[in-house]
Amino acid sequence: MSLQVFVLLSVTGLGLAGVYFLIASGLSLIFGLMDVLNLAHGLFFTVGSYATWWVMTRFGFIGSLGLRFAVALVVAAAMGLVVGWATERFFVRRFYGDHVTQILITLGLSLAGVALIGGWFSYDPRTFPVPELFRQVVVIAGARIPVSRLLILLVSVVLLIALLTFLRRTRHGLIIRAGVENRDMVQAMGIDVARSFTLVFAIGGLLAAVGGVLGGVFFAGITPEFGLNVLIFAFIVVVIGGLGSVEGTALSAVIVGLTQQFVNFYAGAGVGDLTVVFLLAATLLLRPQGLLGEVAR
Amino acid sequence: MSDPSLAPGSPTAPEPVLTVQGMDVHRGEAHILHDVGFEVAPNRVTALLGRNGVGKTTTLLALLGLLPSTGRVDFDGVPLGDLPTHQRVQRGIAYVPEDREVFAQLSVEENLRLALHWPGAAERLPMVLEIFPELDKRSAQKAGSLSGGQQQMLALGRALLHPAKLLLIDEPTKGLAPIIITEVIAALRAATADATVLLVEQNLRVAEELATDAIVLDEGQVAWRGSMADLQSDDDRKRSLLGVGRARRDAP
Repeated sequence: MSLQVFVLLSVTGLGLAGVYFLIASGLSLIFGLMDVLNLAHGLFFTVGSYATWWVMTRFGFIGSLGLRFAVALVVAAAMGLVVGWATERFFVRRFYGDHVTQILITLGLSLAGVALIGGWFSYDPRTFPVPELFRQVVVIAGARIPVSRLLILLVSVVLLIALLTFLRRTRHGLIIRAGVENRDMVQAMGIDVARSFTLVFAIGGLLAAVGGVLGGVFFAGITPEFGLNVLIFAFIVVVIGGLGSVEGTALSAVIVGLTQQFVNFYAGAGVGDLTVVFLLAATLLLRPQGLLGEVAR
Repeated sequence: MSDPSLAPGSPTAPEPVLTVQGMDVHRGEAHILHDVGFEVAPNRVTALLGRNGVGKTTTLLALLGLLPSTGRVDFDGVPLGDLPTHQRVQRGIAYVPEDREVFAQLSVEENLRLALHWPGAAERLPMVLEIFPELDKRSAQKAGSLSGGQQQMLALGRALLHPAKLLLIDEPTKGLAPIIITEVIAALRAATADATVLLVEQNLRVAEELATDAIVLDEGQVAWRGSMADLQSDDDRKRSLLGVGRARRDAP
């Protein structure tokens, strides 16, 4: 293996890991805190990618593509926040404890979302213009790395640090971490844990939507099923990392992203995806609580 | 405290803090509590006793709204109705659960910080750390790495930050070594002086040390209510309801 290929695959794998982390972290927190398997999480991701497409193609009055992309990132994050909040407030909240209904309702939302976006923007793949800077390459150890890959990595790491800081340094974060461990006991301390539910959905929506923006850049194209396709890998990342553990999700995203890139390159396209499924099976057999999860559920 | 005129039911008795009437609880198919009724008098420790599985913990969970129940519960003169758990607790009920249930992944300090939202909690914290100096020493340690006794201190300390009118304590000595039990009893005595407490306890010796009143559950029903002193002196009753006490026929 030449060093150049190794570096290129590593950076690409880490970029993919960043996209996985952004969608999986919210999913993991939602499951950890509320026991809700949120199948609508892929929709948050797709909303982010289409918000970006919309801003990048319709906001021609912003001449600079770089500035336009920054605006797109903010609009996508805001839309993810609102859609995540609304999903909890109007759909999931009524059915806490009723897992079958929750799965059906979030699956329904997810499918309706795909149909809505498909009907509105068409089912054809879309691409959006990106700033010139994204296409430039930097040479690291002889490997030509697109700047966009590094940028995806940077944004993911910044959001990982922001999320961990929020969870560790704020009272809301403290309540969420305690709630992931034992929701009933948090309530028995006189704290209205349901408020945290809404907050976690909103944060999860925001992170997934930013993931959708970066995913659109990474895969250089988006479709209405985009989020659903990535969601499958996000679930794998969540289970391997340990439900409710943000650090575990980050570690697992890196393992899954790198494995996929390296195996797909050396063993043939598609083998990497399959290997990831084997990693999932191995985790479930050997360490069912996940890498950094504390309790098997 | 031991003034007999303060015993529940006597004409001069003060208003009970907690009145439970006709409480029924089902868990899945099982009918756990049948028409349970009792009172908890203010400023004394009432022990809720009974064999394993008679519904003592279930009673506490139902009072907290963590299990659905029917019947009527008046707390501090107001019916609790269908209030959710956090609102019941906000009315002034503090809870020390069975098996401590400290947040294992959080530090000792973070466990205590979760309870600092109560008015006056910051002022009570030095008092709590004085009763439980271990908590101060180990404030940065993860609660999950504490010993059973230390976790019990944390669960108690956390509850004491709440300026509650009623303290529900579930089996504080369960699974602890005898020497630690002595320590926990001393801490409980310091922490519950003049407080109103409903104490679930499997260990009769602990209940005898701490409680003035007793309620005995049997098969999901209240089998006996009275003063702890009466129960203590009645070996037959202790044997039939709790399965403890000397069997007189065996005596020489």
